[in-house]
Amino acid sequence: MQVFDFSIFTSISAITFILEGVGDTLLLTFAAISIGLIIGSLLSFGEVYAPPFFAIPVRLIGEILRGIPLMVFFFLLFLGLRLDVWQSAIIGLGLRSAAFQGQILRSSLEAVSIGQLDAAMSLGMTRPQVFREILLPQAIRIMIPGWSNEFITVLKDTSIAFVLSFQDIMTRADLIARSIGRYLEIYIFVALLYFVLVRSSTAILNALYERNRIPGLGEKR
Amino acid sequence: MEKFLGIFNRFGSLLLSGLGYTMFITIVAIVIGFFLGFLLAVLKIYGRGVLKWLAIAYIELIRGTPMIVQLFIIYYGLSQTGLVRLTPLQAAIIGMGLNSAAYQAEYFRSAFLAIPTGQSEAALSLGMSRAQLILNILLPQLLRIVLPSWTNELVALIQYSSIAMVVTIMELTAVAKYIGSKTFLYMQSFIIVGIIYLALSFIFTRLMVYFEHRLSIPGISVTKARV
Amino acid sequence: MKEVLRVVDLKKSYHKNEVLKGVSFSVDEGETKVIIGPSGGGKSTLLYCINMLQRPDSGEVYLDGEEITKGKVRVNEARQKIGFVFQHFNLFLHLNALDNVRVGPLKVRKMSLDEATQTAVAALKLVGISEDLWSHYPAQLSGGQQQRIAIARAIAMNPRIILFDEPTSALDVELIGEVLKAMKDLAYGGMTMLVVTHELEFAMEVANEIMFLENGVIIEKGPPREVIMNPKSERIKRFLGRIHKEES
Ligand SMILES: Nc1ncnc2c1ncn2[C@@H]1O[C@H](COP(=O)(O)OP(=O)(O)OP(=O)(O)O)[C@@H](O)[C@H]1O
Ligand SMILES: [Mg+2]
Repeated sequence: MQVFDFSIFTSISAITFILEGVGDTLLLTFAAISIGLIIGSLLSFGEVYAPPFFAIPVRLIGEILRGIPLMVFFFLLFLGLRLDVWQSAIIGLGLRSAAFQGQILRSSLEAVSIGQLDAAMSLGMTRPQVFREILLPQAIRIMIPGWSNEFITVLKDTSIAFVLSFQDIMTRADLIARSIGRYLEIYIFVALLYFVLVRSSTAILNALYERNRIPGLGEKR
Repeated sequence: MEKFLGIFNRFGSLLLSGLGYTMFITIVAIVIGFFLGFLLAVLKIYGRGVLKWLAIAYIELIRGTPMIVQLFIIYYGLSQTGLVRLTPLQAAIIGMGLNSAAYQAEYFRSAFLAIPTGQSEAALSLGMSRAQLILNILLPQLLRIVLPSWTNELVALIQYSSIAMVVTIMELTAVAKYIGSKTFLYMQSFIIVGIIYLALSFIFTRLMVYFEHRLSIPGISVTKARV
Repeated sequence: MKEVLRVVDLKKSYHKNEVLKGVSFSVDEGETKVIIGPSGGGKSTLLYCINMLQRPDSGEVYLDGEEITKGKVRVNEARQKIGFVFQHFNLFLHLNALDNVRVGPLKVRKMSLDEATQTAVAALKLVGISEDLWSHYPAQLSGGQQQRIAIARAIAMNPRIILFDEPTSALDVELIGEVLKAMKDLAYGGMTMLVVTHELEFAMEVANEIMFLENGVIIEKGPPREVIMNPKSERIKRFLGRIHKEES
């Protein structure tokens, strides 16, 4: 048996079958990131602004979500709560990402210096104005590099939805690999596919970062 | 509650061995990742030509692809070639170690860059060689700077070690799934291992924070990095 | 002379640390009053209490005869009339020079964009910030430029009084002059000012009165010449001696 047999890629159908999963991989990524952003924002505002009786449970929920493997989450939702594949995948990834995005946003909010807020208040801004005009625009810029990392992490972690037989590129690659008995070539192909997706996302996120970058604020390390 | 206790009674030893696998894989992988990661960081910063280029390519490729795919390539892919035949445990440890190396390399690299250049200049002015400089001056500072990132990496690896179940290893998550399939108490069994994972993260984080304090030297800044 | 600011028996503690132990004074329209005193004496705390960035424990602050320390008063409205210039500038990091000055008139005073821009431009010209710097972000400006823009930001709100908290002490020596010049111009232009500073020459030139604040009380006040050349208390003599030594 040959070590490598890349002739399998002449069979277009194998490749297209895997590539058809790109849509679902990206859809899962965006859905999870969006849910994570919304819930994560609520979590972080809760932690920063809410009174302790609310902030402490919120912090605890964050710790739990960050401390349990994604796979355990998936199984809890899928086998324990009997949600369907899509629901389990989106909610599992989304909730977990919420905990991380919340943490990123919270540390960004806290990174805005007191002096900035004092200056805003000294102009007579109301609390909502300080939040909208000063705190949020600065925190978002401080947040972008860390948030980009989180996006990439979620994109890669969608592959773990493989254990739910979610029909993303990972599951499709595995199906093909098993059916034609060529593992190495197919897995290397799907690895490169992920690499391309990750690199393109990074490029887009970096462009976003550069476009909104302001000297002296949220510089990349 | 009765159901939880029942699971413990019937499957206690299985859970324990699952915990053993999880810990074993995590710790061996992080140690492999530590040495390889350090080497990669040194090559990326101080290396020349092909070596530097290889280190960068390795780090980028590993960090740009999911761990589960890497594991499949090593386990199913390599055995298909017939050249090497790894046991599932070997594959999991090597796969996760190689993966962690790329991340740890970046931690080391940013720690290297966090050390003021004056430190190197002062050491070189004493006539130290490059190797002496790295070992005697930079490494002791580096390890302290890198420690918090290391805590993150350890907690991340504990969780990612659950991926080993896809190459048939009976680590914690796989054990929970097995228990669920035997008892149909999926909810309970995954809650149990969830709590075990939480406890592990908690204990290791505490332990690392303790080391950070024990080893801390005033003036060496400890920066919190993220994966 | 119309009285703009009156502070009556102001007290403030942080936990057990009594920082202000009953401070009273007033500032009339067009006056510049200077506060000097040793580090930790409560100068910053006093200014922060006047515009309520810190809440005083007791005592009153009147602005144009209206008490602003009372719970019912809208603090924001009082702050609009009290400019503040910080030791570390505190320019908004995400806004360029022009927007830093424009954001107050635009968002707080609710001016139209045109009107706010005109106001901001006038203020920037007053402190000598030329047009080529308007699009620069704080991180791209020198400390002296940043502080002058911060002064313009206060001016643009058209306040009744501006409070300065050691506006030049974070600056390199060669940049102090340009900021002091902007402040002198402002004083001569008739702005009411309360300035914490150790720039004695500035005080001699523009201050109507100097107050020496130590350990939370004003232990001496009077015309600059008297306080600086001929202080009554030993403590001020020693304090001034130290400043002179640092300067030479
Ligand atoms: N937010 C705070 N919390 C607790 N203590 C404070 C706070 N702000 C100031 N203090 C304390 O109050 C005292 C007076 O501080 P303040 O900043 O008003 O002094 P200062 O005269 O402005 O000194 P400097 O010349 O150093 O600026 C100091 O002992 C300081 O430690
Ligand atoms: Mg002060």
